[in-house]
Amino acid sequence: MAEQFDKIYHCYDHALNWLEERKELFNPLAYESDHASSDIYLTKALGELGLLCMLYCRSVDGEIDPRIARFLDLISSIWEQADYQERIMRRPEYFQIYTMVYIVLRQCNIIPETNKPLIQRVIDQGYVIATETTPMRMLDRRHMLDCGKFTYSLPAYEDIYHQTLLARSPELAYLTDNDVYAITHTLFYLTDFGRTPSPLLHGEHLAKVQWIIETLLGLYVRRKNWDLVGELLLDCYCLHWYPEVIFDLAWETITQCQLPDGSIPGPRYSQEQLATLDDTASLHYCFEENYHTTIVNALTCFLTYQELKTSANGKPKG
Amino acid sequence: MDSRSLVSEQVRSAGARARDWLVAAQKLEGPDSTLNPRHAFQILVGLWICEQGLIEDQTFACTSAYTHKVCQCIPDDTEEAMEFLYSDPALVLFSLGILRFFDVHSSQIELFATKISELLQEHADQDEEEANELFLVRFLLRRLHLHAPLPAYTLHEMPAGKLIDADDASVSMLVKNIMAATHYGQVTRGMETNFVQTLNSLLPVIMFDYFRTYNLEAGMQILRCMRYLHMYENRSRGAGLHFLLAQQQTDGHFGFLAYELNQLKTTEHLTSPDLHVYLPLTVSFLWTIAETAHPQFVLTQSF
Repeated sequence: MAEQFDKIYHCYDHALNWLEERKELFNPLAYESDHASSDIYLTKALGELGLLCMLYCRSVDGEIDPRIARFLDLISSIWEQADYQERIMRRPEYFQIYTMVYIVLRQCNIIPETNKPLIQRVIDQGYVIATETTPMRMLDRRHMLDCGKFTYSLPAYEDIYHQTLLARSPELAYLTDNDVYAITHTLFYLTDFGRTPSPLLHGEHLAKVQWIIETLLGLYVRRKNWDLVGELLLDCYCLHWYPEVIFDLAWETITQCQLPDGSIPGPRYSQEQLATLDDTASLHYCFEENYHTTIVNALTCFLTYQELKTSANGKPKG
Repeated sequence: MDSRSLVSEQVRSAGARARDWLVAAQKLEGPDSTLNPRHAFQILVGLWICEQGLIEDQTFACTSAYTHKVCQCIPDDTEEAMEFLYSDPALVLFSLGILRFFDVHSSQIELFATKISELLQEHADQDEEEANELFLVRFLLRRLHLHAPLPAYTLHEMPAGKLIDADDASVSMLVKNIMAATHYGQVTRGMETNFVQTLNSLLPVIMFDYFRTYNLEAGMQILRCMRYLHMYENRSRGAGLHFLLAQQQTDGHFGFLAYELNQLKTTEHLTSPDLHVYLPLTVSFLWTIAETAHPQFVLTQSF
């Protein structure tokens, strides 16, 4: 057991080093770009790094990992730029992506509520909560607004949940990767990333959800898709439930697949393609292909490590 | 009703539709206007599963009526007949069991069964792989009182990390090993091991992986193994059954294989895909659906 804890912690530690060494690549303001899509891509990546920090801070008391502190410094320095803040008002079609940074910094008690009225005004204008989206994205929207303590008018979690793929007990053999992402994210938002047990998940329905997650976890371990393996393991944490055999197997394979530099390979990452690139192109290629998988698995490693260690009555590191 | 049973009206009506298709398939002839004996045996086994395992029609009207036709399909020339019978001994022995159930005698098939029994009783399996490979035939011979009692077969364990990465060949070997080690579900003593727990977790994963890639035969073999390992509580059993039922075409046969048929180059498969492709696949579907929906039914022990 102790050996498994150490492996999980080492995976987190190593992944965090990789992220820190590349933290400037997360800065959407660092590069002059005429392409709105690359700006959005980097802002999304920054938000995901922020989510890692936010969920880390929620789960530890006292001192935080200095690398997390440095990520928060970076995120805070970006937020302080008027150029960044104004994007929330000027480009409300990307409201969630831009506002994520504010929410992270508020949840981590880094910034005051000063900007909240301005953001609330964008919400009150109606557009950002009226745009059409999938039920899983609607849960995401609601969850984010709750984290930011904003007021809004959206259907209840229960009503939205009943429209999701997960609630409708899909046929597993037909699920695409995108369907599985919809399932993993539904559980993230429904449980507030494991913070609150959802009253919607109980009895027979909970057992069915657990079976879906367990089977999909096995399927994606078999397919070596570490991005979805990481998300499905995070779902196990969200449910505070660890399926025998497949859970241990998934951790064993995740720790084995970690690259020597600490990153976890994404689904499209290819060593063969990497070999054809020069140093600069390699740096960007590895970042683009692996940053999300590395963040997800670093987060999952840390949260799982904390929980397992605590439940084993040990003293967690970090 | 047995609590392990998943029998429903849907299963029965799937069986009835498949039976209609098999009855119609009897009229499909090869280029020389005769029904290939292999296809005749497949139809017989398919009808038997429909009536015994799915519809639970104790009159066995269609199977019974078909038994005489099967005997007529076997070539008169003994050498030619033996050559055919040796090409798929398990199918022939299944058919012999069904024929005996209806008191229909075929001297050629009985002769074949006796010969293959002598052959196998004198043969010492060279290794575990060969033993598993020959188990089905030995088991059927035993059911037909033509083989000495079978020994216990060992369930060959492998680490979970190796099992999850198992390729088609390894999965196929595992499946045969499970069939042998459990004697098609008859033996489960001493099976409460960690490895069986691992199988309980990972076999459904591999089954769904095969179904996702539409490798139906491989997925169905795993589903049948779950029955032999008595994994009645596993939710994947019901989900697998549901998936299989959805693969039935409106005329009663199973599988949607137009794409694969277009890739095939042989004229034999292209001119009569119903007999060459869909008939064996449909029998496999019926076998799996019957054993999954109705655990009291095990094809190898049904006659």
